Amino acid sequence: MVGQAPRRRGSAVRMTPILRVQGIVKTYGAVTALDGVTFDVARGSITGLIGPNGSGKTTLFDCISGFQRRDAGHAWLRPGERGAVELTSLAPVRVARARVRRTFQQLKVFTGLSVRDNLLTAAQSAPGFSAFAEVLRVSRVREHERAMRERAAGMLEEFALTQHADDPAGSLSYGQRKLLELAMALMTDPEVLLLDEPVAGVNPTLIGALKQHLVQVRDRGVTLLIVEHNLELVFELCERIFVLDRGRLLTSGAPREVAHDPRVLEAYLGVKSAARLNG
Amino acid sequence: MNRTRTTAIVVVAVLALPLVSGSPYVLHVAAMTGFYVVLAQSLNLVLGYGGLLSLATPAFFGIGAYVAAILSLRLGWDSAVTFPLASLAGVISGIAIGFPSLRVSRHSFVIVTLSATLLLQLVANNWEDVTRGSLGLANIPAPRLFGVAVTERTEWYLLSLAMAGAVVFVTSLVVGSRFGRAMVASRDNEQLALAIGLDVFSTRLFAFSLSGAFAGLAGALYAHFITYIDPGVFGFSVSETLLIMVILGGSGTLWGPVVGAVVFTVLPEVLRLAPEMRSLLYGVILLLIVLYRPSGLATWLGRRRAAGAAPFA
Repeated sequence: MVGQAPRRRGSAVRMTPILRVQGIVKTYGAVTALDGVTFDVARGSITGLIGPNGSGKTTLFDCISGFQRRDAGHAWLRPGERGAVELTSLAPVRVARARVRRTFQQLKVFTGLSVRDNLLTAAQSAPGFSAFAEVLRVSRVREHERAMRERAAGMLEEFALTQHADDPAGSLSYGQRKLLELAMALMTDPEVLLLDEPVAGVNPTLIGALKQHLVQVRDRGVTLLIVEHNLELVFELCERIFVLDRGRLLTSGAPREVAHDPRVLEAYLGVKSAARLNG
Repeated sequence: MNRTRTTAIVVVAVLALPLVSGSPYVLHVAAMTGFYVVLAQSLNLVLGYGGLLSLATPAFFGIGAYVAAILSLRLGWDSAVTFPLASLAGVISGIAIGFPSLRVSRHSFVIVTLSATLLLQLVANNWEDVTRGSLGLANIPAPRLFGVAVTERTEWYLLSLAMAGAVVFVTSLVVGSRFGRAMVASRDNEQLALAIGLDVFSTRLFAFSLSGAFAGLAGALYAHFITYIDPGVFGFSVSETLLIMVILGGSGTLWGPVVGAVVFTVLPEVLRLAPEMRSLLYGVILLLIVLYRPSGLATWLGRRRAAGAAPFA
């Protein structure tokens, strides 16, 4: 563990880490995007990852989820446990199948598929049936499909997308796509969810709704690591926050501690403005 | 209700064609239409549902044609054996070409598939012991299915129709399954597909090899039907025709390529009525379709724009 972290709703059970980031380094030519970042994310928590633009948050997500190869360091799922998985050695598909799911800063849905099919595609990534069984729809496949359809229907209901179920996802509004994105992530039945700016560009009402969804997701036992520039949301939701600056971990702690850390203000606003604010 | 009636009328008309017109010419064109339906569906799987501009369809087509022709000429094998083998050869070349080409970017994919096709054409031209080079293979006998020879134009028409029907049916099963969704998902957003754990590469390889199976079968049918093949079967013009059929028919839809295959096999024949104006009229009609039906003729059927919007989005 890095730091000793007074926990807001701190119970001892929550202390077990589910994700460990250990000394991750990533460089692009002469630019060092990540310079030995190390931290643990507690199981079942909502954890925030903040920092000014270019501090390496998304690059870190890319390294954990296999979209970019890190130059050094590791990311472990369930570190120290028997079923520990080293995520940084896996391709994106394998990371997803290890039930670590990410979203993207630039909102992505399958625009050509219906909303329902988006959810079904997300759900049925690896049921382990043969190609022939799939195409010929043997009874086992049909059963699985029916179960997934029911699950998708429940998800549509929960995210208020039922009336759009058969519309192409490309026809949804931006806010609805944000909801669909989260619903898709949940259809994959993740253990850890890495959310890259889940409320960026969303109106205040919908932010409220998304906030509730995130808490519900956490209550189901999914661990959330959230990159977000809406600090109000981060301070309200997260039990623990890590602050990145220029590829290094600047500080970490409970929202209250981080919010009052002069280094955080400095990193966000620049030295002079921070000094002025601090009087 | 209305659609059921329309479908019934179309089915009856298609089946009754040999009774209405015994003209060998009409039946010849009709049989060719069936082959083109198979080929167009082959390209549609990769281009329409997969979003990959493949120029390898003539490669599968040519391989299928040569395999069926050689097995029948040299060994005298029954078509009930050689047709599946031609199809299998298509699958194998699909995997062989797909493996390297699907690993590179979408742009390089076009070039790799084109290169593979040209390479096979070179082989067909130069491996004279087997292919007789540019002389081609002539006198390919009528296909025998379990000993029964297919010789009459009507029989050919029905065979072609059956094969086209089977291919459309298999395609509908595939695109309606998890694979269909996975193909469209990989086409729409590769990164998201990976992030939800879809094996994009395997999905595409599957589509590509199935495309090979279809085109290989079409090649076998074509070789026996025309009774002569040469390395021209690997020609770029095959791709050109198929691209017109798939894109203007409605790529990424089940019936679009069927409509495209029918229209663009029949249209050039109809235009023979005006020999001097033929090419000009053909070009004008293509332009009009592109301008007024950019997402394909199948949208006229009133079908909902199926899974595919722009294939290269």
